[in-house]
Amino acid sequence: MGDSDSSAIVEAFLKEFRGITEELSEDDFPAPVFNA
Amino acid sequence: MNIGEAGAQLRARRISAVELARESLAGIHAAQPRFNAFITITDELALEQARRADDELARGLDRGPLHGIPYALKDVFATRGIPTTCGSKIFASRVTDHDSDAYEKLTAAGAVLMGKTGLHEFAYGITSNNPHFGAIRNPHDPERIPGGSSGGSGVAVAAGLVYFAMGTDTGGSIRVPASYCGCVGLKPTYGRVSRAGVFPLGFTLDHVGPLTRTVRDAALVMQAIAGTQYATRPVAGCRIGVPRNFFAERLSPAVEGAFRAAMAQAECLGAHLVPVDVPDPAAIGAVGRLILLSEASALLKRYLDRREEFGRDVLALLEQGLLVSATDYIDAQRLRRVYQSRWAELWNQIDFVFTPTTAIEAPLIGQEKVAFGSADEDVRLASTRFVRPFNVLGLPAISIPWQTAGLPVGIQIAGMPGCDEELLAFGEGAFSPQSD
Repeated sequence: MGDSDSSAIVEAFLKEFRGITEELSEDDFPAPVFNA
Repeated sequence: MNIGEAGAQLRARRISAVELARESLAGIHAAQPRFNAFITITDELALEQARRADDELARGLDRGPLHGIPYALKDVFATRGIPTTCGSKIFASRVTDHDSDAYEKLTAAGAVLMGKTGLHEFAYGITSNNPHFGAIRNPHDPERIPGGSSGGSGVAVAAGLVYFAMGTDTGGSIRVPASYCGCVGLKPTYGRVSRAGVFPLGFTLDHVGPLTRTVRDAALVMQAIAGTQYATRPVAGCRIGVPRNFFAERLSPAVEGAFRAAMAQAECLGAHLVPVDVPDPAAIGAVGRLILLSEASALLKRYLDRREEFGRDVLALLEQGLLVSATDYIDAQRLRRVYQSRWAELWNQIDFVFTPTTAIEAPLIGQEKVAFGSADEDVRLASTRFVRPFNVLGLPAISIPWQTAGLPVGIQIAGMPGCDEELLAFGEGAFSPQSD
């Protein structure tokens, strides 16, 4: 798979992913992984 | 024979550890041309460890349930003096100067190592169709994949070559081969089993766990590697969440039938089935994929000047990971916390959640798509969409085989963080007739 294929796949996936991130607020900070 | 039964035979002197090891090694060598489950077979070490186990038992030193029991390690567990290839050409001749924690603990428990099992290259994929060591084949149909990435471990257990095998699970890599091969596979709570000396893939997603013939065997291995206690739990009265969303969508007929039958069995035993809408499963899967793309590329980018030494699929994923920005990765970790808190509320309503492990039975080697009605889905997604969320959430999840007339099907049970003992106890109570 060439670089252009990888770019297209990642761009499509990132578009989907960034749609999800819209629900984040300033109060949501990264977890230090888990608080299990 | 399971671990408990083999141990009883050993202690009654009806069989020796050396005889168990010889039987296991003979099976492994005989099966290797058909299934290709192993990368390294440690004949001499196995017999040496077995002789020691026999000597100790004769002297009255009993190291517990795994004493004298043959097993295998996925070839990402460091073993001093024995190659640890990670299924890669890059590490084809890599020999570590240290042991992994899991290997140290299993050796201290008296278990006898038969060898290192094959896997998807760098554990980064679910087919175990390895370009450097050859395709690993499903024991129920050699034209089909065993699942992965711990494919060799799944085959070694399901084909009866060893009593248990260790695997790793970053996005389903223990549970998918357990489902496709027909054995038990446990992904414990994140951090419950030490990953020291295990070659990583996704730093915040990797889990270490066993593949076994029965649920009780998984509990015995967990005692040795994580210090868990064996527990029992009545199935009657347990509240089982049955997702109405996501996990009930796009199933093969055999998987759907097995899942319904498993729920009916749990209900017959007195479990309460509670329909639930689980929070954000598809988004959690997307978050997991993004985190893995980033972490795997951060780990392996130092070898990308040797592109020709990677398989095509792994190289493509590593290239894709380099294109993910730091802000996207951080947002994925932020979302992870949001989703964890939403799932924490779910455990007020239910004790465990039931899902199919995979949406399909084992695909053919080389198969790329699977059809659901008029729509096609990538085999990799159909294999991982039900398992990956539990890596992101860090929740314990076990795949237990359900007998069908055709290929094996796995039933996945997951629970709240840290409930590994309760999960095993429930799984044994609900499904021991199936898994024993």
